[in-house]
Amino acid sequence: MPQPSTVYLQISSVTHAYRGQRVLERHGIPATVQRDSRFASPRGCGYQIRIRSQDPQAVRRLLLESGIRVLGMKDGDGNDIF
Amino acid sequence: MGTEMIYFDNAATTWPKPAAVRAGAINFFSRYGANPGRSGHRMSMDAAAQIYRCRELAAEMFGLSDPARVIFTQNCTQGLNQIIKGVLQHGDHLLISDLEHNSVYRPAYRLGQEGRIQYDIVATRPGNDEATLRAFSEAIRPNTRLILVTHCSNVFGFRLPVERLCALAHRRGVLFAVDAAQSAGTFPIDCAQAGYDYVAMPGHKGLYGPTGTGLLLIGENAPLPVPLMEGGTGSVSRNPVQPQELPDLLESGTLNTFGILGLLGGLRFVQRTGIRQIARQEDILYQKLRRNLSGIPGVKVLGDTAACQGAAPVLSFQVGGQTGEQTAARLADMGFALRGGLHCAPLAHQKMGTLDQGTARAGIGYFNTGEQVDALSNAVERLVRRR
Repeated sequence: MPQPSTVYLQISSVTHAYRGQRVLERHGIPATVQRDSRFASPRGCGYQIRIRSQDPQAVRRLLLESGIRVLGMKDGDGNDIF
Repeated sequence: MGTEMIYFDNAATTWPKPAAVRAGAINFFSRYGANPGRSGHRMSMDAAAQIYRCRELAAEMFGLSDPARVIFTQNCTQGLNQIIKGVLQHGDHLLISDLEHNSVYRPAYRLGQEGRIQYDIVATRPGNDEATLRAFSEAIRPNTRLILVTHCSNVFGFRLPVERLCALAHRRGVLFAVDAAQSAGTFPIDCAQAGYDYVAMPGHKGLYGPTGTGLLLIGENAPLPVPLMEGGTGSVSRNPVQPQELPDLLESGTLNTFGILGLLGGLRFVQRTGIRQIARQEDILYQKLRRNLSGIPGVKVLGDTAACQGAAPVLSFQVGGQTGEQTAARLADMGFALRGGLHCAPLAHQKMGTLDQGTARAGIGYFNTGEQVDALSNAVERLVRRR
């Protein structure tokens, strides 16, 4: 079984990053809002939600279902995974 | 204001502010002074988290499931202008009531004068909801896009049946907006239950926040208004087009963190105290003042019992032939803070026949007491004798 790894979800604005954090925490997924240029996408605001997950795509779907767009995802080394 | 002054100007802004408001605002100087939503350092992130907490609490209190639909404004007037100028398009028809504040009347008047919209002022019948509903129903035209009414008159306290008016508007395919300047924090407002499309409210009145704060609530199914202002939002900076997501669509430029932190304290105070408890206590004092002043010969209390049933705790009165300004000035000399004049609501005064003389207005807040009401009543009685 794969180990959970750190994922950075790029969100459109700081408000939606906090919205997303609340959604994830309600689903038992600890999440932190941050702004770190190493994990930023040019399309977003520079704010990310940092999580540890085995299945980032499922997390992305969860956010999408709550109306929160994920503009990009990067792994802990800053590589794009979406 | 001197400590001896007894404050009855709560319809203009509430005073005193709860300790939580002061503590929240002071936090700006010690912990949250950075720009929220622009940078990634600790203080900026902490400030942004507090701003979000305020959105979240407002959404919870006013029946919105999405905190992003809570827009920070500088006051209720800005929210009302955003609704009128951002929702109505050329050729649209607007309905407003004959109790509206100038923050609704003036934008409607100008857009009407410029031929951009048409608008009608509907005669309400305070105390007779059926008649008010009928009047609005009959005034709706095929091009009516929006009904915007005050929840409660800022001069006479009369309360309009906004839930039923909203249902009527939606049945007829019309958007519905509420000016909650005198009702937010005093009467329950539930956007989800009532289906309001837009609600504008001040932060500094019944929500007990600092001046310079306000909220605009965008209903879950409401069309997004065209923004009055565009600019930096801290999001999608490469794109020259204003972000279309809330709240960024309607919030350009740095937010009033100081005010919003105070407002967060005010919302917590209102939530902890309970809106129903606030309404109950204020109504007891309102009824007492009404009884007291009605019993003084030479004093005219505006609004009959039926019209003032369930009213906001705002009471207008006249002393003999004095103008409202004169009465308020004389009461100020006696140590009471009230507002006199037309209260930026000429339509309401025209309706009640008080446009020339104006009224003195007592706005009751949660921190007023029965003793203060008696003291004001005695002062008014002394004024009458002195004439």
